[in-house]
Amino acid sequence: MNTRIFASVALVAAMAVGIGGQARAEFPEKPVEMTILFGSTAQTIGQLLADLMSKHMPEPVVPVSRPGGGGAVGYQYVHGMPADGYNIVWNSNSISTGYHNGGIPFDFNAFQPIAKISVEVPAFAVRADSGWNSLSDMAADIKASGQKLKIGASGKGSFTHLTTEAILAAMGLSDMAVHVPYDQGRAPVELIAGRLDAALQWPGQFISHHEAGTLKILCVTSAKRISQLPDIPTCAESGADGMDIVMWRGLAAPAGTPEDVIVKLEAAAKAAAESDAFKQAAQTIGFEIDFADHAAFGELIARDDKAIADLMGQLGMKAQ
Amino acid sequence: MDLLLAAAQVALAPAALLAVVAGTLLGVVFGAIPGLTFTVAMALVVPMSFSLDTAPAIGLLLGTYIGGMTGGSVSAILVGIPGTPSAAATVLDGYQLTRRGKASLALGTAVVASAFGGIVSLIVMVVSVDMVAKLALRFGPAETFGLLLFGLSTICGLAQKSLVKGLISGILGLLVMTIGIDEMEGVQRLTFGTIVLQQGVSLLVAMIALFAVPHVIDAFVKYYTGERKVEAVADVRAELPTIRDILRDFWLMLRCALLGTGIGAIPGTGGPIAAFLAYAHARKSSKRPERFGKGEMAGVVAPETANNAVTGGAMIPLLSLGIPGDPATAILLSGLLIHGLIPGPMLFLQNPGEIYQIYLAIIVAYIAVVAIQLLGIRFFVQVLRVPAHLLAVGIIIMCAYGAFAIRNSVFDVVSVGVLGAMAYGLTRVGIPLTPIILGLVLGPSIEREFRTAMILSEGDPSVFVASIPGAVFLGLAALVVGAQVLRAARATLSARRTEEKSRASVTPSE
Amino acid sequence: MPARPEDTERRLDVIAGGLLLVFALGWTGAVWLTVPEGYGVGPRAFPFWLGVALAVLSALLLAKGLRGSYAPEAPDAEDLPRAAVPILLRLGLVAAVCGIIAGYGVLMQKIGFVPATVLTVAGTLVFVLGERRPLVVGGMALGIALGAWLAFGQVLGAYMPRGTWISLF
Repeated sequence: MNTRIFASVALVAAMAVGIGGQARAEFPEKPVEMTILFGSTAQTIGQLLADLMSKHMPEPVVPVSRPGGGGAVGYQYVHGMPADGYNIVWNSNSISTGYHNGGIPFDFNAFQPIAKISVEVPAFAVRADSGWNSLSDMAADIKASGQKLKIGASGKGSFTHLTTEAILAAMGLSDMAVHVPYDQGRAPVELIAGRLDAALQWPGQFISHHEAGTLKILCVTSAKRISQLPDIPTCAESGADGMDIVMWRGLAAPAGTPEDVIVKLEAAAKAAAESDAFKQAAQTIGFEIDFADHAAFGELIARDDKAIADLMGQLGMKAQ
Repeated sequence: MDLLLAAAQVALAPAALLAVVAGTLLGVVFGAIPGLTFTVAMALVVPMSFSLDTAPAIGLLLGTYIGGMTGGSVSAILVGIPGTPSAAATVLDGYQLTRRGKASLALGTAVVASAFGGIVSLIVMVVSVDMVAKLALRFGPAETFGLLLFGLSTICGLAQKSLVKGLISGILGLLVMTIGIDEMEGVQRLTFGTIVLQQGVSLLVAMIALFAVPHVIDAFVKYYTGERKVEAVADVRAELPTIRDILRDFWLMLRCALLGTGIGAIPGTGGPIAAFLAYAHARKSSKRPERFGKGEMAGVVAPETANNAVTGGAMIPLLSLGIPGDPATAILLSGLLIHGLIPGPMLFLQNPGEIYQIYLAIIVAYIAVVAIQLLGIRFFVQVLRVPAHLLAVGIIIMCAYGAFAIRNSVFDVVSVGVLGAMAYGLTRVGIPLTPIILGLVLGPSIEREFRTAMILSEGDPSVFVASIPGAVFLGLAALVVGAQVLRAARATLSARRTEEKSRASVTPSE
Repeated sequence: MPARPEDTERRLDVIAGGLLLVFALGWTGAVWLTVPEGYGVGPRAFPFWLGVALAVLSALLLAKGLRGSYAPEAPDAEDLPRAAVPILLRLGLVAAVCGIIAGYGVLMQKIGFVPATVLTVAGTLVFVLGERRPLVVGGMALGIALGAWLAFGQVLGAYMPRGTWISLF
């Protein structure tokens, strides 16, 4: 009886090898897996992008969530896959923060950029009753009172934490603040409840409260104002000179992926990023579409990596 | 009123109704399979909702959430493996009821209790969303820590025979969850330089390992020793609860529903802790506490009412403050955002129509849940006709795939095998597994809230008793633990006396 | 003379207390050596003190097992008499189940969901449970694999590993 079972198993295996071993046709001949590293909005945008890209490709793009370790798990998975374009990653600055704090053993050079898709711009908010209308107000007040500023962001070494440190450094408040790490979404409430003095998070979490007057958004960290909050000044306008920090998101494949495959994926990504559905989602979810081709994206990643390395070095958080 | 009618026209349109029912069905199926929880189901549903109108999209997501919350009880009762962490407390008495041939009765009661809890929490939300949201704001890290510690103290009640073993079990749960990246400081803990360990042990993975693997091993052992006939006696009649059965526990259900709503409204808590507190409460207030753990219906009613009331409770901070309390509500938040609804104080002013649609979708979802589950019971119980060892093979596949689907990670599947073998070892030496679940669920939040509170107070520990809620919950926790330690000490003393007496009376034969 | 239940319990407490004590000490040492202290209540505090607490509790259990007293247990009416199971059989089954699950996970990623499931179910039935009826083996293997693939992968749209060595579906 055993032989019969083995025979059928062997047949199945032979079929599988037969199909898998076919001569290589034109890319893509099977679905492309897009690894998503984080939950919440990063996941939603990634899923939408995959959905829209699928409409411009002969085979679908399948979003697969591989979270954990601040992106390390997903990056390592894609890094370990063959460089044939069937495994791509929905990446972000986390490749640089993760590498420099020692969580990921390889840096951005392990990946071939495909296209930059979007940027997200953090917003800096304070209590409604603080009386502060700009970062300069806040800095002057803190320095005069000598009271430490309690400021909420995500955990140490996260992107929002690095951004708060950059703002504090620009305002000369580095030694006058206590960083309170919160998991996602809690900081605005703590601000409303009065347990924090300031918080840095994604604008979507603040907007409704800002409109209701329960807290006040002081500024956004990009060099230009964002479309979601046209009336809110940039942090540079608000007193932090030269502040320009944004979180980019894009697509990348393992290093060594053939150029023609990259170009095909880039074209699909471009079509998706320029679609009306994506533009509408940008408005409602709260991110800016900022497409860049693979060459420009590559330069940006390298430039940004250096900036993050410098910042983390100054903060004493650089492991490698 | 016009607004409500207009909302009803949208929310009760065929497409919207279909979306809610489809979502509920999906949720029940995912909820019933360990590992495939409503969080996984909702992440799958979000892309489908992109192309839908607002009302069907919200309905689909809410239906999945609610269906998933009730679905967890199906596998908890039938095979003793909770489908979701929130259903872990339901296993205690639910599975015993199945072994006594009352599977369908337990399933029916569970779904009615679930719907009751959900609807009560919805009423609380409609009536007092502002007030509850304001109360929830008072729960900062220090107060939440107190509440979580109180939840953890129910371990003592679950410890069965030995308090020491119960505490060991709880601490093992807390320990396991510290592996991985410490999100607050960005430091790696006990990862030994590996990337796979950086993701830490998923709560769901640990839960599958604890409940499913020992179950499978036991089934195989029994198959070899020929004990299999005992299980085959299990009765598979489809016996549904009568209205009278359910009304008997009405006040208990109401109390548990309010408890669940309150806990759901506080960010950083969630379904499992509500379920365990409700279970502890049910036992404490029962006239026959000794029957708990042996198949008492109140032990199913209480946790199922409470964990479903959490859904309504969690909607309060989500809608009025824009804070997601757990991963599932975080996905719901993205779903709302993508349709242009930004939760927060302005939502109630700018989109009152959509708020009514959400309320109606919740009601429809609970009606659908009751219908689907009551119809489904006669099919669910057929599972019990499958010989235990063959069912165990199916359980292996479902649980391994479920573990994989949580994070699409092979590491998680391997962890189920390894942790499961360890869990089986623990059961063999008499260490109860349920307290581990509490430790697993509460570990990360307890540590985070404690450390955040200490950072906010700049190292001053008096912050934990500085506010009334904080002091009350800490006091309650101390009371529960103190009473149990005292009882355990007294029991040890009396045991020693009995043994001395028996030594004195029996002539030594050794 | 058959072992009284309280003697079995005593022996198990000694084993459990001893093993857990070793584990707790190892854990606490590893935490102390590898986790940085941080500021205030840092990343080390919780794992460290939990390890200490576990060490104390397992030492208590060990001490009770070695010297404490055990009241003779009243036999629980609802407990069915358990058949004695040879220890090697039990250990073998634990190892088998652990290995099946871990192997299935790896196989799933390498050769895809359906072939891995067919192999795992058939292998478990034949080699662990000694099932020899081809209809049962084939029916269950193909039924579970295709049923799950159809229900989760196709109808519900969940992600199913496609296989990195070979890919069938």
